[in-house]
Amino acid sequence: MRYLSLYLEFYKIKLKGIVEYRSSFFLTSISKFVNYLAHFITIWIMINAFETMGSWNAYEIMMLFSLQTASYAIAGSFTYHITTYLSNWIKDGTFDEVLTKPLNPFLYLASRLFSWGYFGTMTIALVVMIYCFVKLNITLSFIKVLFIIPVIIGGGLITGAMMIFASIPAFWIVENNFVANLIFTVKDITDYPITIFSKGLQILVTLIIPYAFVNFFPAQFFLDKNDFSIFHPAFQFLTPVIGVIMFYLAYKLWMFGISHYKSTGS
Amino acid sequence: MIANWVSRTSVHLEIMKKAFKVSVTYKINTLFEFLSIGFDFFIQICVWTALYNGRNLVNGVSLSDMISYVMVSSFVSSLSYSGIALKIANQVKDGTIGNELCRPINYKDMIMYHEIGANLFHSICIRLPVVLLFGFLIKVVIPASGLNFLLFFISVIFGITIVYGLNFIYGMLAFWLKTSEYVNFISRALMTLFAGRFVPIWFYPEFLKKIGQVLPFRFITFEPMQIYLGKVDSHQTLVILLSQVIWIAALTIIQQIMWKAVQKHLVIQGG
Repeated sequence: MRYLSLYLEFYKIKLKGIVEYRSSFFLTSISKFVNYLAHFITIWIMINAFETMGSWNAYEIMMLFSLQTASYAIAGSFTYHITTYLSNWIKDGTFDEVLTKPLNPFLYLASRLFSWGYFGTMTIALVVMIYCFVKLNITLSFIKVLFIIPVIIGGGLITGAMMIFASIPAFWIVENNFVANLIFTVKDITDYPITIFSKGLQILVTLIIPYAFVNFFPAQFFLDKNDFSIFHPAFQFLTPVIGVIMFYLAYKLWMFGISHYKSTGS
Repeated sequence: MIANWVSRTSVHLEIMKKAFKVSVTYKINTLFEFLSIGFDFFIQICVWTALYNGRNLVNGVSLSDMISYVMVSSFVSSLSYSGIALKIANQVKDGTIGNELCRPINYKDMIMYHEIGANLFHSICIRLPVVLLFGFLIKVVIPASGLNFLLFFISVIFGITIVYGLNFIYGMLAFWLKTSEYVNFISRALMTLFAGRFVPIWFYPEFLKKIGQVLPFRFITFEPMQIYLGKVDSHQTLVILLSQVIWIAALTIIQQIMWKAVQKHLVIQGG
């Protein structure tokens, strides 16, 4: 953290970029906003035609998706481009250049590849979240409002950790797309309440790839639900803790990956 | 005339073959793609089973119809996927379209057949085996009849033609808008809402159905799937195929007009 001001400088530069290319930023934001809106509407159509899914109604499931989307917006801003660029940068040698900098390579990449482009994603997530609370007639207590922030940040850390894990194979075998795709497919389970799936899958997304902590468990606290299947109800409060642990593990493994990295020589 | 057509077709086939071969080289990717697709099907089956919750019919559609829909429509979607709108728009934006237009081959044909080649690989070599495996295991996916299958096949080809018509139009808009960010915004959102790929239009509320009626998107996967599953009678099938032809004609005319306008005042941005 010695070069904190230097890292902050990257974010400032990126922000200045937005001011310079204002229309491009707005178009990207609107584009993400509208695409997620379309997705939310189709979820509503689907659940509404069948009334409920398990013990969850359309707005409760939209709430699950909005928590997931908000976490994704945070994670995506910092780590999405690490997952997608790392393999190419290793192939074309750009990554060697990253290593020659006297900076922590992870923090350097998270700053240099930071994107403000998820602004639209975050906005639609919050809009839908508020809309669902209103539709479900839930009065938010002070504690609930206060807890939303660590839940979204914790969810962001979990999602970000998964993106980092997905990038790690690139250090050994250069290519990493396939691992990323598989992890993102597993994430799809948490588009829905995990209790509609078999116990095996519930354990997979709770204990192994803990996406369920991004939305399924904390959502039950906000929605006053009690659908914990084989898990302990205390899980609804664990999101921030799991987030910090997962992100720390991902960071350590990523740094371990670098120590095993051999340049492709390009 | 005929010799000309033959030589052009052989060029198109060659482009498709090249794209196909490039896809074959990534073996580990292929293996994991199998896993991802299988896993995705499994999730979808769980989701629809939970939604049906023991009911036989919802809006006249049974659970096994729905599972067939999920799998066969995913095959149709991977066959009709297109990212060329963004490709064209980006090439217009950064000026490389100038070089592309100088090549001695039709630019639109080249990018289209290249993509179709890659799509054929992903849909036939990867997705189809998974569909057949699942179909074999849970006894769904069979078309309503041989004739239905034939008509489905024709309407899928029409659907793919519509996709490319739309994509060329989206891509060419960049000549006027001078940016490419709008592409995802219009193409993806409209497809998500009105193509009925994620949630079939059977389950749509009336007002959204009505909007979808006047748009071309449902002819890409939804209507061919209706034919496949035998959800429409012979008269309706004819209407579907005819509507597809009308859309193809309309999109082609719009493209021609845009293309003429572009050629008149083409501005290459740097490059």
